[in-house]
Amino acid sequence: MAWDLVFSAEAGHGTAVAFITGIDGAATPDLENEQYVLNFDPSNDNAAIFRGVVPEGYASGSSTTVDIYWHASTATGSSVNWEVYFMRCQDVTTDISSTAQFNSTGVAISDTAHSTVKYAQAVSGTITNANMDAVAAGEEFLMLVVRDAAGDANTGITCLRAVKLSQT
Amino acid sequence: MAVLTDASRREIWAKWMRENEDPVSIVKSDLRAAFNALDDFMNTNATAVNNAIPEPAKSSLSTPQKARILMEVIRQRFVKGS
Repeated sequence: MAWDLVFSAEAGHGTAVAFITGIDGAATPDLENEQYVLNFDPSNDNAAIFRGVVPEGYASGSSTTVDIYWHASTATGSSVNWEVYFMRCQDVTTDISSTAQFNSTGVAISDTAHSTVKYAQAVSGTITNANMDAVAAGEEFLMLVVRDAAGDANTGITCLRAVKLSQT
Repeated sequence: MAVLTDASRREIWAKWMRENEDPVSIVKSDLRAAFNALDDFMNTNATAVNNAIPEPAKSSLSTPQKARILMEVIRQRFVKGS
């Protein structure tokens, strides 16, 4: 059964907690033309965290598509690396106070900034159930969005607008 | 005087990227090369810049005071109103 789950930027918040090795700063909230976004720094690996519930139609045997919606604030035509990680919140099993629960492998999604700044952009990747920390339908989960600033070439702040998870 | 450390160069490069509000079409490594080159230039030409300052300012002002004069001149010539 097809489903999608959309997280707009205001559904999450920046975090500097080292849920994943390499995080060294929190994404910061901002407004772009009255649209709420989360800003990711060009020189530090910033992160933002979201929380959701896996739809009942989720098929663990199929990959999940991860769409990142974003825009570049100042820098054009250069690579921007996004990474998305998941943590399963399993009923009476997961210690949600632990910072070491995210699956260490996520999905890396790279895009190239448009030739004009502040144009809406969307880019996709796919992730397996194992890399989604083996989440199951109906379970709560946490999602971490990271900019791999150390690995990309874009000199500007990048603005996360939304994230969509889906299966067809 | 020596060139800035790699950490110092990284610090000002990162600050510039964080604070810049105008469009940029070059990649991070090219921008970093500009910082490195200007630091190298200042290291090579620091004495010449100091010698351009007339007395008694040259001998009376501290290095930070003279550096701020240079910053104000550069800001007025190349940054203000851009």
